Amino acid sequence: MSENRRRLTDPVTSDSQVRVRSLRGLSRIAYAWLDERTGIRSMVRKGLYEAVPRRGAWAYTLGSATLLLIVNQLITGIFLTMIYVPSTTEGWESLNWIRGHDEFASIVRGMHLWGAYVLLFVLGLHMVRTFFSGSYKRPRETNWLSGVVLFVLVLGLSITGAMLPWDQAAYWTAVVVTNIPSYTPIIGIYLRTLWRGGEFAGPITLLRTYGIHIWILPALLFAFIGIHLYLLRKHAEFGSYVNYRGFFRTLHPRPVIPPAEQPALSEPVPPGQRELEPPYPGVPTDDEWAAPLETDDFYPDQTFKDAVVSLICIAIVFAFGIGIGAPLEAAATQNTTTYTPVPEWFYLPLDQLLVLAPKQLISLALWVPLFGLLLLVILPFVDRGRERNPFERPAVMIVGGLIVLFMLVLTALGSGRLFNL
Amino acid sequence: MSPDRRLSRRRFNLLGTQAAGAAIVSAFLAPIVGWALSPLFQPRPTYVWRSIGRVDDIPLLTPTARSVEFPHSSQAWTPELDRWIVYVVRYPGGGLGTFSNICTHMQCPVRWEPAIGLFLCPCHGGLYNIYGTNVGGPPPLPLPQWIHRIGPDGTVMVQDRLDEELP
Ligand code: HEM
Ligand code: FES
Repeated sequence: MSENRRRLTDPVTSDSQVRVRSLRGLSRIAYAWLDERTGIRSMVRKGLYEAVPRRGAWAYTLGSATLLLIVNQLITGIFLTMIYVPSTTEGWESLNWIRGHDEFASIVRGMHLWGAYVLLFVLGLHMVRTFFSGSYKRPRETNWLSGVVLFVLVLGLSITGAMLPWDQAAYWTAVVVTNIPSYTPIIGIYLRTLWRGGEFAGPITLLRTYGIHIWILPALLFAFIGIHLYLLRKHAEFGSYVNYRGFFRTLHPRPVIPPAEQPALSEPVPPGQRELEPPYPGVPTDDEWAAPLETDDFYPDQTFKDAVVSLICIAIVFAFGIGIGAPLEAAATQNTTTYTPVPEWFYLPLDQLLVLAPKQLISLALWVPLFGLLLLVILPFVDRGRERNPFERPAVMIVGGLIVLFMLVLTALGSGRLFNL
Repeated sequence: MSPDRRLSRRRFNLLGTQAAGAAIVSAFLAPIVGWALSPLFQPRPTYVWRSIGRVDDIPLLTPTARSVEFPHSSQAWTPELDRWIVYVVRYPGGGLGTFSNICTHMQCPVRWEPAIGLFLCPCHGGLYNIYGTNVGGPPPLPLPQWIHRIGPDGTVMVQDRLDEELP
């Protein structure tokens, strides 16, 4: 960063000293006025000029892309509440009506559906990235845990959202999904009755699921996004091994200089000679701050990359939202002997487990995803070594890889059903 | 003011905050939890009988789908009726089957497949024979039947009640 570049937050001299000679001068005075009363300058400074690592910056765009896709869900979802009626008798009608009567509403609906699909995909990549680079290690265990909560919430939103259109696809998703808790020991049947509001899926099921989808889960989601981002800023974006060692420097390690022998702060340390394993710093130390080779400003260096990736995501959502849109099958009815329910693609591994599990093991199969969740929760407490390089953590990488492989195999086994083969 | 007195005032305020907080939280929770649990305590409304035709018209050893309209099980506000499938079949010994097509695995819509002579569930491949016995795939129980009776005039009546609790 060049020294003479003017930043948004550079202080102006106090109000009285500034003469209003131009609009620009006026706006600076207005800004100074506001800053004295709100502290906006330091807020913006904190928000925008955070130091972020230069290495690996493209991999760090996945989180902000996830956030943008969630904002897309929020915006399109809010407008869907003015398009869609949460009722077994009118819900399908309202969505059927917009086809042919209201092209823009159809696009909103298409963007909500494809937004959810792309969100699940990008969220998965974000998780894989943080897993791969060991970003969940001390002191970032809570970053990881809040991320696991967000993952569960987004899965919950996707599956509850899929029930809302109350066409055949939505109805049978509702029947099967609300039946899954019934395999819980002892209280299973009660859980199903609570979700369904009765013995069978119907009006109360839809209304309860709707409330969960548009209020309860989004409220939790945004609360946890706040926590997630607060923790990110607290510990800064330095969880990855590339920031501590640099990928290439790991392959050709350089000697470690004990802190005692390190040159005084005033003398700039050449990048290669900095201590290789800092004691888990939250933010870079002062001399690291001063090392322009390693960090960039969040704004505009990281935001540029973030914007490019987010734009690509939204372009995909927009194109598919318009080009393919959201399907609507025939209105829901139990009165069928021909309909073949097909699971949502993101739910396919679990459904394939239901295909494979014999009748004695149904509940066992349903514990498998919960076991996977447990593994996600305990990960930062099991893999506690200082080593962040994925190639130096073979055990964790192999277990993680096997789980992903397991899910991919289940998906492949079940994929024929997606196309009604 | 003596130090102990200060302490007890502090303690009073502490307990007061906690007590008020607990009261406020319970005031929020009581109606919401009560509402959320209410489906468990709804009395099951009286069952209804519906005619599905005469017993002589039911084919022998060929399960045939009929539709029947029942009020929704939750007795919710909607006037709409639920339309359910009844697979009727007559057996040589004089028995009668009035099967629902609700799979006992995850409740997908089961269908009679004449080619294999079995009921097939399209979701996870559950199989039931012509007597509704679960003979293959994941279903843990036999295909449930709607409770039925045959009137003096030979009409078959089914009730909106299954002969087993679905898992
Ligand atoms: C943040 C993550 C979210 C995800 C992953 C998500 C996912 C989904 C999915 C998959 C559907 C079914 C789409 C379809 O087939 O039409 C859906 C429908 C719906 N969602 Fe969301 N959603 C999210 C947030 C929201 C929010 C915040 C709101 C409102 C405040 C909302 C309101 C709705 C409504 C009203 C529908 C029904 C309309 C329809 O089915 O076309 N959603 N959602
Ligand atoms: S729902 Fe019938 S086999 Fe799974």
